[in-house]
Amino acid sequence: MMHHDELQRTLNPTCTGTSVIAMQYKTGVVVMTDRVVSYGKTARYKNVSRQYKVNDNVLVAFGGDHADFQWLQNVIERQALFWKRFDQEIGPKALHGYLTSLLYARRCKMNPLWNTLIVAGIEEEEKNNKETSTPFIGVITQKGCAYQVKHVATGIGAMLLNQAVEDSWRKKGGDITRAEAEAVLKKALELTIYHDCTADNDFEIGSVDSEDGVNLGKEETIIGDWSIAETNCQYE
Amino acid sequence: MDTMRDDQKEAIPALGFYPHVDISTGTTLIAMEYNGGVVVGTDSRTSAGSFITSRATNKITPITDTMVVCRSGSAADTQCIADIAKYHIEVYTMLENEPLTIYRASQIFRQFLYNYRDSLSASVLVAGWDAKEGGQLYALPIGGFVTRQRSTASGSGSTFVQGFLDSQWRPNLTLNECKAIVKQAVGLAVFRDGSSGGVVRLATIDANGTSMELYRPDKPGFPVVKPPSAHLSFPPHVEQTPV
Repeated sequence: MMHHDELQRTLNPTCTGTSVIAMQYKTGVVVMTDRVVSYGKTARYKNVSRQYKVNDNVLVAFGGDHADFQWLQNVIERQALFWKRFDQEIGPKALHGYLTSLLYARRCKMNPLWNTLIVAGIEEEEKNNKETSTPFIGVITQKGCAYQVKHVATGIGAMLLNQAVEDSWRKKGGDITRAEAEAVLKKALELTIYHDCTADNDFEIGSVDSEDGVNLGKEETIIGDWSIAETNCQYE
Repeated sequence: MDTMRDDQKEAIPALGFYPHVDISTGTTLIAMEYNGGVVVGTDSRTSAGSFITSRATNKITPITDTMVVCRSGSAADTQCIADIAKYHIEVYTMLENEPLTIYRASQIFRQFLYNYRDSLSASVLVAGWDAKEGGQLYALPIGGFVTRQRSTASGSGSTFVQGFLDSQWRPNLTLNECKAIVKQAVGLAVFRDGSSGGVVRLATIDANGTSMELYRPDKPGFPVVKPPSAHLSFPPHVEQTPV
């Protein structure tokens, strides 16, 4: 079989994004990402968003290679338009399924898309009936492993943050409000600033709500608490 | 003793295998002489791979009352070298009954960094004041070369600010001018380098000794860098936050 080996093969991610943190609340989903593109350990480009609005019900956030995700944006647009031919807006579950197949197929061809994707949105069981809409968070890893969750942290956040987010989730369960969910995410972001080399202080929180639709985040900054530095003595 | 590893070891979580990542002070160290002493500035981040193991490290290690060493490279290596060199310097000081010159102290550091150069990954800045030559700054990069400099930067963050330091240095700086330049340089490096971050620690070494200062990001006085304003992240037909 003829392979154009020189054409495509993402062996190493170059320009990368770090963690994505997402959480369901009572009537929707909030997703948080920072706004930096890292080139290895250098913060190379700032003011770059990692959350992409597909339509009024679906938001896709990513970590990993930016170039691969820019390619994916075109693919997602094409898929959304394909659904529009039948007068349908693509839903989060459908997009999640499509992207799972896509990423898995690429992995099988040994040419993966170096991304961890979060598909967040409102799944409408019946069209235009708000009573039956449910929040949805779907995760797809770069190997095409996909699953649905109520809250997630990807990248190095998976090791740092899942416990903190889970603790807050368990306290409140499904009854958490949007403001409370955002507060949890901000606390989680503080942890990434303390312990992730490639994390940045500027972030954005996007949300998908069954009433409001998609609200793209505006740029915010978090500094954290550095009183620990006062008491540090000799070495580390 | 395998600090020169060529193969990229992959983690195998199913087996519980995680490759050992050296703990390094991927760092920003800036130092500059002024008329009367030396100012050194550092960040406070120690990292192992992408993980920050310590976010409020103190990389300015006092050796005597009028000498400090700033450490970058492998954290373990530099801590050890600092301790051993400090011991030797104290012994010589006691034997000769007078403080060691900064030049000799830098030569003691060089002795270890050069003789063990294949086993160590350590790069230091020795800065201090003595009665013979006043304020002095010696850079000892990996390998054990010693050079006296008026202004220098070391560590992974140094590459981002070399140009800035070159453009800012001039002879006969005052203390406040020097501190402002060093502080701003550390701020600029921290802004771009993922291996540098946390708080900014400044130390001034002059005839009276060493005084340390701390600049926290959550308090005023921290060298904040304002990035240029944003453009759109996605093509214009995609719905996104306007700028």
